[in-house]
Amino acid sequence: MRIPRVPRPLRPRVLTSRRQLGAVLDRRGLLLLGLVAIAAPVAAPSDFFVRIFILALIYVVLSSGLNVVVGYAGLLDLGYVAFYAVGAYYTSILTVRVAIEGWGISPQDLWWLFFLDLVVAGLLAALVGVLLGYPTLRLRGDYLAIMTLGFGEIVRIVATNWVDLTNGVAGIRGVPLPAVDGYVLRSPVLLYYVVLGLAGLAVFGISRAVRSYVGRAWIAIREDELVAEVMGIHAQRYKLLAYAFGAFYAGMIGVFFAHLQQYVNPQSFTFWENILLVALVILGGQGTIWGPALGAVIWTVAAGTALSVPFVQQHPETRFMALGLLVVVAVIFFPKGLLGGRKLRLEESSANGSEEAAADRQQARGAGEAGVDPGRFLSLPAPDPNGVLLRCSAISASFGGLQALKPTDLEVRAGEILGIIGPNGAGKTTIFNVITGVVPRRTGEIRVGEHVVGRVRPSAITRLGIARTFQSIRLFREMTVLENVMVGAHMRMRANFLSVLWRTGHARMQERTAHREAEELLRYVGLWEYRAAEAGSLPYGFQRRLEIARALMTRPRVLFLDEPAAGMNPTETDELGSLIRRIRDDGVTVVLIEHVMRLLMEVSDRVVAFEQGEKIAEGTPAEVQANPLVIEAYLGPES
Amino acid sequence: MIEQHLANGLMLGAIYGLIAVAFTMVYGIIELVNLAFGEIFMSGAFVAVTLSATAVVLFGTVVPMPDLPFWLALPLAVVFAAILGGLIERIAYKPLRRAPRLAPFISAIGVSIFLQGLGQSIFGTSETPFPNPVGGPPIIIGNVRVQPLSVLILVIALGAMAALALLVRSTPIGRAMRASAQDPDAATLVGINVDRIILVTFMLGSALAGLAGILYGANFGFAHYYMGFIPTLKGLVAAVLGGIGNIPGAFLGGMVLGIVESLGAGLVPGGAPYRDAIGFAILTILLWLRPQGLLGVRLRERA
Repeated sequence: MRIPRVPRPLRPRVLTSRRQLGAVLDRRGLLLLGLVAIAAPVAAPSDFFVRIFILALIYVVLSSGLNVVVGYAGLLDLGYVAFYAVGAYYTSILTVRVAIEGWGISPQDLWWLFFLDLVVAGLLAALVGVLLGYPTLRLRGDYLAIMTLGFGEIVRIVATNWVDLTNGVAGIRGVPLPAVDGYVLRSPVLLYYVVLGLAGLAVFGISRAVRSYVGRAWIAIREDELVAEVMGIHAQRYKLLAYAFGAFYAGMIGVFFAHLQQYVNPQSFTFWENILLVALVILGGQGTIWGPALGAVIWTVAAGTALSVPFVQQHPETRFMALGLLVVVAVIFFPKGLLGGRKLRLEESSANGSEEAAADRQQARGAGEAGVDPGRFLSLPAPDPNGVLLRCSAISASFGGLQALKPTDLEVRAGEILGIIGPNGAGKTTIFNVITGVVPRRTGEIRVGEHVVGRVRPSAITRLGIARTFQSIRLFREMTVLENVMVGAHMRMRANFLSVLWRTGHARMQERTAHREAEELLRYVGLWEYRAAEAGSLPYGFQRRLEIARALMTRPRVLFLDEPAAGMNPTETDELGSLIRRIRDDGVTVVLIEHVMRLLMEVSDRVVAFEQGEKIAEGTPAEVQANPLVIEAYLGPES
Repeated sequence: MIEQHLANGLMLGAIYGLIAVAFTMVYGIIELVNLAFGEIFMSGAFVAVTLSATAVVLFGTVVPMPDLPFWLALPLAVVFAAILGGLIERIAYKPLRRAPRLAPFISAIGVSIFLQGLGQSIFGTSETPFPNPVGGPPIIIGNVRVQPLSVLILVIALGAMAALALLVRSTPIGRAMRASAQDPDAATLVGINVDRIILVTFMLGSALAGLAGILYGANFGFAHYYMGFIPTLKGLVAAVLGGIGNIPGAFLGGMVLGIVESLGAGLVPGGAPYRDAIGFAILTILLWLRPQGLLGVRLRERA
């Protein structure tokens, strides 16, 4: 049976995916922005303004880099400036203390070191980020914030007190200006173009990273870390990547800063700088590509030019008061920032806006409906010789003193639909959670085919061909419908981070494939028309189906559905029933928890009943329905 | 030597403890790290010094002041801090009750920036001297010399803690606070006005932070717009040390931090300049090994 076509959209949707704001600036927009940026120093009335523009671009790099961590990966970092300090101090120490003072090399012969250091310091900062992030990124949001804050202070305190290395409060002087083969870039305009190039590189790299599977993984983690894990994303690793990637840009621009100022001291890296950067990211629009950059430009130019007003000159702190007020007002009234609330039209923001993608879409439209193809591109453990796909032996779980699941055996056979019933609190969801690694099991063994599953992260279990949905819908609400599904392709994305940045042929092809497959799956569950809507805006029943599509996108062998019919009307429930059958017919084994007995008994080949954490019955739907224990569990003992 | 550092650490630790308790109370009830306590701390010190002086420079002009004795200026400044804290809660945090988790935190940062700028505007960038409220010769116990002021600070801090413990443990409002901290929805269902309890918690926390600021200012003899930053961070570290949300733990955490810091700075050769880094280093190691704090239980991220 075909799924009936979905009726016309309830509301004509306008896309609001904040992440794709980078796509708003089409070629023309970018060209215009580039021209303005190039003309700015020439049009500036004096060098004073050019210097402000240089500073603005430094802050563009910093706020954009911090945005990767805060806006995309959702990790509040209050110590980001420490990476900036690492870059600035690294190049100053190497250039002045080691090369010039130590080895007596003349600064003229060292001009290339500046350019080399841009990269090396970036990598060094990224390395520090990894070392620091590794133990800390598992912390809860605000603990992480405090921890990063502490780290930032430690770096500053060390820079102040390790006088032998850093020359303490006085700082390191005599850092040479950037030069090209003996030609010193003294003119502010030339320095401006250097930093413009760096800022362009930074925004460009960041926009490529966030508009790839890596960016989707970051946003997925921000929106719901547990679900991201269940989609096969190694959350810890991707958080670390965001941290290191953000740190890279801070380290890089730190080098420029040191050579621009020609000295470096701890005063430039105070807690205040961290606060300012976070404020700029929030005000501009966290999680948008241009928002933090815009915030940085507006603030630096406004704060800089305000200094020519006599009142502000006497009371420079009034600028910070204004900033503080703005932050409070923004968080309360415009939490998405300057650019975050902008709505986009569908076509502007489709996956990458290129002609290729358009051609792909055309093709997808004509291609008709494809199957779900379990395991496509993945090698999953096969069912064991008896046709058992998943075997749980004596698995149990407890929370505190409560044993939510007593030692239980459960078998899932390839190609069946297995129904799980039981009153509330019977342990149905717990068994899902134990199998998918969301809740650690206390005892027992789980085998997928012949493969014994260790006590591993949920993402490792997803890699064995096990996917699930959640009882309370857990979509990535701020992503579009299409992006939600595309997250499911994560495990098949093999292109490494550098290929993503270069956008190599491999990376592009992979992205296109994921896009096409996601559209196929959306058609499969009847949501294709809504692919560009924000997931959180869908009606309830559609959200359930979207969760199923997202789970199917991981190409599972077994799909666990946790009360998919909850909150659906009878028509929707019927449609769901045929969808579940069709998924099974297309080769995916289904395990179903459901309270809607009509649905469950109709579709299931086999039913298992639970009560109070114990399996009480197992058999065909008719057998289980007739089982006195089951009747008692639902209706109470016969009197 | 050790005894001397212990005595200093005890006094400093009591101040950190007060701030830590402020953080922990507010965190316990709405899971917010209220960074603005740093500026409430500063406001407490400034109000106390202003009230107990004959004249103060405000906005660059000399203004005559009532010249109150310390024992009168102190409670007035504490009340001021409490009211300021309540105002901040109503204006900057209450509208964000249903917002994403980090929103109130960022709002707190905004408040903090604003108040720091305001403090700088009113009192300028130089330190305002804070007169020593109790003079007299140091008290000598064995080979330890203790200023009478230090004793007073310790007594006031311990007294405030005892009063708070009594309040939280044995009064109806304390019970309502504990109930709201455990489960705000259930507390609402049994008729507790949780919004009001949150306000009261903020005011109490702010009173403690303000008190800490006064004692700190009195001890070091100055008030300054930036004075709240480092002690508040240390209070926060202490709160985490004690397991955030745990009131006795927070005070204990403050004491431990104060003592460790004084011993580290005094006894480790070359340690003095790194005094401020000690707390953060402890924090780093602690969060690494035991993310739930010394006395805390493991908290789960709110889904």
